[in-house]
Amino acid sequence: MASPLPPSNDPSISRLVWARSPHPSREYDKLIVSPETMKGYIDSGLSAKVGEYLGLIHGNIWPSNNIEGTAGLLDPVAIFKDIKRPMRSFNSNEDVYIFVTNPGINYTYPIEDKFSGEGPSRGEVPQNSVFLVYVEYNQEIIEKACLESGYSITEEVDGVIHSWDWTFAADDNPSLPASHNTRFSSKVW
Amino acid sequence: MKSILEEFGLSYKGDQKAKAFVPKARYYSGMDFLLYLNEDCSYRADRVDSSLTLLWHPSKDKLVGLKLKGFLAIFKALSEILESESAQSIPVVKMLRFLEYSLEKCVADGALERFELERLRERYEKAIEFSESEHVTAEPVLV
Repeated sequence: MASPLPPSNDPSISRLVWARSPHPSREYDKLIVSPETMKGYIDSGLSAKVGEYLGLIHGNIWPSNNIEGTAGLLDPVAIFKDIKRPMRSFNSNEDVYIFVTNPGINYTYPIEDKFSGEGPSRGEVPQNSVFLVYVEYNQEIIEKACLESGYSITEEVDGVIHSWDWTFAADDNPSLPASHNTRFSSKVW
Repeated sequence: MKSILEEFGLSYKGDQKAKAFVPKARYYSGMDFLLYLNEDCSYRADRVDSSLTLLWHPSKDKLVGLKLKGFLAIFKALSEILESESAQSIPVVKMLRFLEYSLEKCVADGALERFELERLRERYEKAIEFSESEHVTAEPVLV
């Protein structure tokens, strides 16, 4: 639900994050990360993907070790709508919004601390790239994600974070992804 | 503070640590894509078209993986063609060749310019070469 003040993410709850809302009726949205995605990345041993989520999407996960965080999805450069491709048996994907950030830093998990409670550490920043986060605003999908992650207050969650990637930047505007004019339906923020 | 493993119900018992990285294609239903990486790194995604994304090393000119998007539809279409193999894992090379062939049809239908086809084919060939050398296969998904 919308919040009148800039919210901050709870360091003890990594699965929930606040984001700038793409909807004009409210300022901020509360998002939940897809448990299927996160379990998949953890189960596959993808330290980089988990580090990116914690450092660049949540941004406030560190217990006490003074590692600089990020504003995550509260400070996007742009938000686009609709990925213009088939998704799940050709259903519409107009509920999908793409958050673009330019964090300038990156995170990973060192192998020796892999997925421990110590939080991520700084990682190599991909060259000539921007960071994209794919969020779906769909009640059925929200309820499924909340159920699977054991979060019972479904009505407090506005969207589900499905995926995230560093992506090549546009030659003519390095703060936005390449082909941004053709790969999405519209820029909403 | 709970570890990430605990929060996502993936705590391991005793001294067992989180699983080590193993290159393997995995389907993610949320965004309906198949992801394959041969390296655990923050790759740079390079969108080829609505079906294929090449994944490059963060700082080297080196392909480290690929994404097949709209995977359910691709898998279903190919399973129907390869009836006898529908219950088995399918080599990703076959999927890429199927998609590449579909591009030809787009040109015939006037939906794609010839010069654009050549550009796309070059990149599909890169993905095919990579998938062949990595022996990437896709497990069956519910369609």
